[in-house]
Amino acid sequence: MSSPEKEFLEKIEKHKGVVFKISKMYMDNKDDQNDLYQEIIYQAWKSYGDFQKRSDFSTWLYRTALNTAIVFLRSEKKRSFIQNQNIDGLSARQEPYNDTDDVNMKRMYEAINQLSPIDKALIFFFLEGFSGKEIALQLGITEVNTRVKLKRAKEKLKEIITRQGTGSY
Amino acid sequence: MELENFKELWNKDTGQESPEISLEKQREIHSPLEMLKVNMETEFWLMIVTLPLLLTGFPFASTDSNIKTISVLLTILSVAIIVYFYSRFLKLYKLLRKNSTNTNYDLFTLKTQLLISKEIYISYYIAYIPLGFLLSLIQINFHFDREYNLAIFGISLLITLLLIAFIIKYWIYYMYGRYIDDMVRLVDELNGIEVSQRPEKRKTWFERSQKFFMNKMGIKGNILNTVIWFVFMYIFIILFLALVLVIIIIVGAKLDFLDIGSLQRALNKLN
Repeated sequence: MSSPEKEFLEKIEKHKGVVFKISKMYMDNKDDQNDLYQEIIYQAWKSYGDFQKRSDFSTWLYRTALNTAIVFLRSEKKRSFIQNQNIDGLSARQEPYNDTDDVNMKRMYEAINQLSPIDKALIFFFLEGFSGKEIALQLGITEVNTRVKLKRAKEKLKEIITRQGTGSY
Repeated sequence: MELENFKELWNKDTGQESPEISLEKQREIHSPLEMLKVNMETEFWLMIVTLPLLLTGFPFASTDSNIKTISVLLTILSVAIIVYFYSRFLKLYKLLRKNSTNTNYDLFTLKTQLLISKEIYISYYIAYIPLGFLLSLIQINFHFDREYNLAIFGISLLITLLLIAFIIKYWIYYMYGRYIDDMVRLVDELNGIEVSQRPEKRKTWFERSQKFFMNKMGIKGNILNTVIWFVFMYIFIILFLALVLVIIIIVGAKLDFLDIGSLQRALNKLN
């Protein structure tokens, strides 16, 4: 294994969880989530040479991941939707926690899945705790525009959750 | 529900169920630009193989050595134009692999590159179609002074324009345009431009067969689908041309603006 490849794999290992969470935000079934995850890793590896440590690796990776996810072409394969997916995929975690968390997490991703690709990106940054200024920088839009868009995205998400029926969350 | 609860859930999800990391390229195409590249590459090779056959063989085959020479020259010129335009596209494609600065910039660059690629593509079709048209006029020994030759010229021109319109509207849309439309919508949405809801459309036969072949064979399925529809398009164009001419002759004869006897004599002279 070449040195850049080893270096890249070591770095990506630390962030693969967030990359997979992005995949779950954008795709509603397991196969597509895996495909998107692999595509993000592949695209990140392809442009790793251009990265040149100009910014923080995680910030660069998130941006690459979101850019890939936003334009990702869904597979043409026939797949079962997340609604039919059993909970096993969500329970293989290091940290043990209860079934309510599993169900709520599943519902959270189902709700986010219904947003537009741009709104998903905004919600991702919000959930990751980025400030308005940081989101604006990442998306390349003004801070004012970011605030307006984020507010709208949150409202849409609330509407979706209300439609889903009130849960505990 | 509060979105703050989402934050809590989000932080609890470690994403540890993620699959094994692989740096290998996937069997399927998931990026619009890559889809365009594969489609353009397939079409490039189809044109390189079929255009010389078309321009030197059916329907332009002739025993006249002058026409043969012109056909060969036109073929070389047409292929050179295609190679030039394709190389321009590849250059643009490579430019896109540069490092990103932010999402808006990346999406805008991608959108612009896709739109430019589309224009390049349209240009190369428009560039070689008049050559083919000219060749067909030479083939029929065209003279303005002959009876009905002006009409034949007009009809041929009309059909050529119809063909270009057809290619731009359908072929370009299904091969490239629909991916470009998606990009335009994304950039518009990000920049606060009102985006209208996309109307729900039934899948076309092209999309259905593409889905079927890609499902079975991945990228190769997409290439096979393009080849099948490319051949089908050739057949369709020939049948379409024949049908338009037959309709014009029948309508012309019925409405008395076309004399069948004179047309027959004009056609005999052409042969």
